Amino acid sequence: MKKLVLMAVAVMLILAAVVAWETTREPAREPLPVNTRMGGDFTMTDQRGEAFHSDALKGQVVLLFFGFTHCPDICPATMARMTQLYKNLEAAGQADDVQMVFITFDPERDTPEHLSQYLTWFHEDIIGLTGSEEQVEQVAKQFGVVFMPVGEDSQGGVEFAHSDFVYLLDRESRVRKLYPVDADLKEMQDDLLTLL
Amino acid sequence: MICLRCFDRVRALGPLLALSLAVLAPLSHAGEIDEPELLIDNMWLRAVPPVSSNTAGYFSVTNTSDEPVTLLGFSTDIAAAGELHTMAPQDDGTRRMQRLPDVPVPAGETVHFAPGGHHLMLFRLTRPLEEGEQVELCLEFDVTAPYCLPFEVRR
Repeated sequence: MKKLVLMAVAVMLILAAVVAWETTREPAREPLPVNTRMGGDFTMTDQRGEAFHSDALKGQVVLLFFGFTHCPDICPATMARMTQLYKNLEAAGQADDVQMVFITFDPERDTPEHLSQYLTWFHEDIIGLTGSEEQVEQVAKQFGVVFMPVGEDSQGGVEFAHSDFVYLLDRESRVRKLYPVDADLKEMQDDLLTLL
Repeated sequence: MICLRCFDRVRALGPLLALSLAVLAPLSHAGEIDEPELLIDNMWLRAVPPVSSNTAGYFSVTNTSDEPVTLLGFSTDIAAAGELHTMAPQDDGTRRMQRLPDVPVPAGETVHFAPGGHHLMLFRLTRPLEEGEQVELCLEFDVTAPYCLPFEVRR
């Protein structure tokens, strides 16, 4: 009789533990949807002046941003935030398969050398891409990026109106999510980790 | 020059006292006691790579008086030119930087200069900025003497 009581208590404790675990654990995240209307292969020139094909990004989770280095507000702010996210991942030992990529839509001023100097200041791991006007227009079109020169500022520099999303690409270079420039870094990190 | 005197005190006396002095400085400079009082805080400049020649500055200004005040511009030794700008949303979903002739600060209200919105545009930096350094900018309003304050360089 005593054994039966003990067994019943044990079963109840196990059941209670299972119920507690089921009710307190975080629900499984839904996989991020694949955006089939954006992305695709492209060829450009990296900050070392060498040809770069998008195949080189396969196998890595990519944070992609389009901008121009003479942009004083949105672009450096976004680069700083992306770099912070990358450093957070580095600190957690999760950055090995993560790649940040910056594509300029101002190839006239953003030469490979200029891109190299600009991006290294943020982080040496960032890939910077420039190219011919045709290459830039093509890749921008593939990712739905809107940019247009809107004349000169008062100091003679070319101004651009531009969209400013950050793109999250999975290991197969498929677009999985777009973020506004002020998106929550924790949300981005959590999303990114589901793709690693 | 009130700007330099103000900044010297900022460096010597610390941020809190410095801000008080900054608020009082225009009053003493103008010799009037009924000028609108402005509270200015969270002043910072965007740290940018040395290869960048432009950057942006941010702050908040609260007009604690009953009179409207207008920010007309700013001056600083570390840039060849400075303008008031904003990032204006366009009909096509893009955003575009636009120059503002001035920025009103209505009585009793706070105006924020922040990334993605209003900002101080610094053209042609005269030298690279070091993260953490304090740089003096003098904010010029219509009815007060300039407010010269330290802006911290941050990423």
